[in-house]
Amino acid sequence: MGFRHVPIRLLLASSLIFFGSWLSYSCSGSPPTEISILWEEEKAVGLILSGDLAENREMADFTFHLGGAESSPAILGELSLADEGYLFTPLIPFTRGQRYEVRYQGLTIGSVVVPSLSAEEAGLEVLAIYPSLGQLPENQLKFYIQFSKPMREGQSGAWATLLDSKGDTVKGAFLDLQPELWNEDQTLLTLWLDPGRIKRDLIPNQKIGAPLQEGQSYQLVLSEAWPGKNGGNLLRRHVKDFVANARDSTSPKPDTWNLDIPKAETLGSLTIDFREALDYSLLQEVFAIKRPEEALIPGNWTLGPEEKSIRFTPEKPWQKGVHLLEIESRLEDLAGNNLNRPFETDLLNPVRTEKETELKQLHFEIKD
Amino acid sequence: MKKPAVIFGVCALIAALAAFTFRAEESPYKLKLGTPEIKSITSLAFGPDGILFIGDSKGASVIALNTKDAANAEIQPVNIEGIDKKLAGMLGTTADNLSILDIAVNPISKKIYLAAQSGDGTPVLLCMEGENIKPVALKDVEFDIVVLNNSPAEDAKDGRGRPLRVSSISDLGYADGKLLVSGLSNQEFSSTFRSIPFPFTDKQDYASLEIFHAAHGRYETTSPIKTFTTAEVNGKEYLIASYTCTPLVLFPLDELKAGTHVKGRTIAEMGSGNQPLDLVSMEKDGKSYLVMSNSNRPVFRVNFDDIESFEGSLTEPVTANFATDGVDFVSMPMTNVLQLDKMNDDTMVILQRRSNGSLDLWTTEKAQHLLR
Repeated sequence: MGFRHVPIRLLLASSLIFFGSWLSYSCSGSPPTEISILWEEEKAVGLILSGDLAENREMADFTFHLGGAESSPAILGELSLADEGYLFTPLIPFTRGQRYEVRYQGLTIGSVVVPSLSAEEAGLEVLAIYPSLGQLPENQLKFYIQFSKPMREGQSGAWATLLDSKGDTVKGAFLDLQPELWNEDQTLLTLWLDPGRIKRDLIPNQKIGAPLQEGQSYQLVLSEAWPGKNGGNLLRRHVKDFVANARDSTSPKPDTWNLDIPKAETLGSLTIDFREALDYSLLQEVFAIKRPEEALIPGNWTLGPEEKSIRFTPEKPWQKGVHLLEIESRLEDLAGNNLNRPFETDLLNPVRTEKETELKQLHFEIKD
Repeated sequence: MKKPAVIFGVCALIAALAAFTFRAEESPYKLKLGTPEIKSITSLAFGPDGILFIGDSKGASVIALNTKDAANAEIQPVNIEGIDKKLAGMLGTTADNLSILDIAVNPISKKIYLAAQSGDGTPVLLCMEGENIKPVALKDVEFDIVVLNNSPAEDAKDGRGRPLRVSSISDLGYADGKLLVSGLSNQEFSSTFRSIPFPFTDKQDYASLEIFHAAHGRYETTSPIKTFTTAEVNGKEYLIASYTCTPLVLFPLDELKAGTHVKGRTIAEMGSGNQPLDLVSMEKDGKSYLVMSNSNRPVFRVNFDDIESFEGSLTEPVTANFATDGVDFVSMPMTNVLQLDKMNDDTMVILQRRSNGSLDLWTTEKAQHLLR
């Protein structure tokens, strides 16, 4: 309802409509006409033509063009009838800061500017960079960058830079992945330090060496020019300072972890101290607590400072007895060593002693 | 006596026509009619009969779309300077707000399909008829979809909010009734390689593999596949895969079985500071070549004869040849080739950033010397 379906697209009346901007213009001197922008989630997804602009005009004779050049081609999209007049829906949303022309039978009869967003209005910020630790192994594998709002893809190569202690850019530090690894709402980016440079004996490692060198200090710099999906830029530059420590080539060993065990009949937290920082993303997915031969114990997991520990708070009071902490073996430390095997297996000096298993288990006892 | 025969003949003809027409209207490959939910279009590959596989990294799925573009046609040469500007104009935006993420040639109609994405992430699928560019309908189409997120980690676990795992598709291919998908995740630096029978079935038969390669026989690691192709080497079907950390690795296709630890034979390393972008196999004057575009190297080609004769694996450093190890690569006079695909055995379509900054789409018909 609300719109008469003309070509293909059926518009839902529930679409958010804001009459964001309207501008009158006529090159033929006819009375002012109205063009308004249809917004959806900060995107200009359509133009509504109403009043004189739409009246007594054939839909087939309308075209829409990027302003500025007579020769700019007609924009691909669909024109349909709406309650207010005509609605033009382009194949991709209109671009902020651009002027668009409405032409009828080839003559410009109106135009509209899609307003730009100021950095404040855009509200784009870096909320966190993981690992949050300031001292990382020289074979550190990746960073996770948490943004406040969805960011534009394919831009990390231009706006994320690694600087050495002299302030020089470490060239080719990051793996150029297309598509980049963003979460679904495009607020979390995974940035790999080039593993070809980290892996020993590959040509990149032999020729230009690892991106990080032990004992050196570095800055991961995220430029304020990094654009967001809403068309704005980051509010400010963001810098993470860190120092590269010794190489980490050993797998985390759960039997060396410290467990702070709560008492029975309480809602006290179980804290697992890894005695080293582990991977931010994996940490939130790999743990489960069970009673032997019983179902999962429901509760909440909270990461500790510097990703060196995790805390589990049960929904119901602990029961007395032996419990199991299950850990998926794919859990990694900062250098990509998982519970089964290190990031690199040296075939001449194999260190594998334990059998590879999907899960590792730790037992602990809840007492009075 | 003649009349009933004529009537019978006409009826039979009508019945045959009706049957033929009815069959023609049936969806092939068990496709359904509707509008697929497509969150992104990051890879494209053609299957049989004009079926286009659309890799949706954001949706962690592959959509099989019936383009109904299955009429044989000759290659129409293309030479579009500033294709990004041309596309941007048609989409009402500027070139810096648009990315071309993949190109694929329909092997039957020889038409070029382009996957583009605007700055706000809206995906667009376009088709070129000669040099005319038109959008491909994605509404009310015949399609099927296969969801790739079958890892236990994808299931939301209680008390942990949304899972942070990101799965992405690095390349798609189709060979021998199977859709091949190489994937990577943000959590492990490794590849999942899936072989999914097409038509898709309810019971998805994933062959999810952990793939290893060794650097000079010493350090064995897993790594994501960036791009791959399939080809016959020494009478055997192989997967030729290029990794994000540069080795080029051969895997016998028949050894790629679910749950196995498959170790590939490293046949070359592509040098430092470089990313492989696309791999295709071409033929010219009876010779087969593997052609590879690179982020920071010219386009390489290697003779399949050399791959066949390179029996070993890279067990120790081999004399460097254009900063690569292993089989002999010849660099072709093309740099900054971002995308390439095969139009027929001796013609490629190339998306290239020229030295003057222009992003051009062109077919190699006018440059046959490239494969000489």
